[in-house]
Amino acid sequence: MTRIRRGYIARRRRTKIRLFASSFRGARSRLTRTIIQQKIRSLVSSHRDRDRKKIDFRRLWITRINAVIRGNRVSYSYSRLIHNLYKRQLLLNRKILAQIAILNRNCLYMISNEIRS
Amino acid sequence: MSQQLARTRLAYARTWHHLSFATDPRPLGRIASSIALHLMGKHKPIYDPSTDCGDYVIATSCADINTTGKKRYQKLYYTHSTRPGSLKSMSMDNMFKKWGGGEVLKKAVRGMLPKNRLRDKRLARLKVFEGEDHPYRKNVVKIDGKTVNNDKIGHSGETLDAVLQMKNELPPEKVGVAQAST
Repeated sequence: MTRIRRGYIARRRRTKIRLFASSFRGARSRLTRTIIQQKIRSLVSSHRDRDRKKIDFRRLWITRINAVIRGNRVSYSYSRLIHNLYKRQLLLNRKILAQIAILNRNCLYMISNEIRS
Repeated sequence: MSQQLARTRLAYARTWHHLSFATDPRPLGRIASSIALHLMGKHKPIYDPSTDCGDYVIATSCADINTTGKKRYQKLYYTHSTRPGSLKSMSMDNMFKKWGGGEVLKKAVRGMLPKNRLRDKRLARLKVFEGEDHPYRKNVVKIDGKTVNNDKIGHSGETLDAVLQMKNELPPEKVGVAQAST
């Protein structure tokens, strides 16, 4: 059998992966074996965090709405607001309520006063 | 998109809140809880845990801190220097005598802040004084002689809405004005 070199097969595969990790810091964008591992880790992170993102933002909106609602009246809270929202079947979601809280706080107060029965 | 709304210097500017224990009858823990919320910035609609968006709090007359029950003489503060046998305790009354009410308040607030890298920075924004005098009078903003506190850290705090309503910037409805009852 004549000797056969592998040629450029492996190099082409590794270049693609290297391009993916081209903006990583330090050895993670320079060393081939490290690059392969870091690409796997980063894809796992992005897969997991796509679902975490939805959870995290909802938590942030709830905190922000709570902050503004508690500033208005002594014994009012986010939980009571949501209860009244559901009782009156108002379809505003937390994302929109949080944006209203930032941009137009009085509008949120008006809404909460209206639905407060 | 909610991360980019209201990214203005004015929104993130730190405001100074003033609180006097001489006029506030609430006990130590309840006030400390309210102070911790303000140091974290959780009273703001732009709150984000990754940024330190907290405010300054000036607490005066800390010698008059009110505690219920016999806590003043029975509550013990422990210190340990990691050397075996060096557990020391001090009652709250002795803490008042040795370090002052400011330290008692700071210990209370410190336990109520999230235990992360921002805790000491936030605690440093709490300025405590035993008497009524403090060097930050110019930092506390006043409109028409009323302190602009947009929240309830003071006992019967005038809200920003009440102040703005005085200046006819809000419609004269019940919108947003603090109701003393309920």
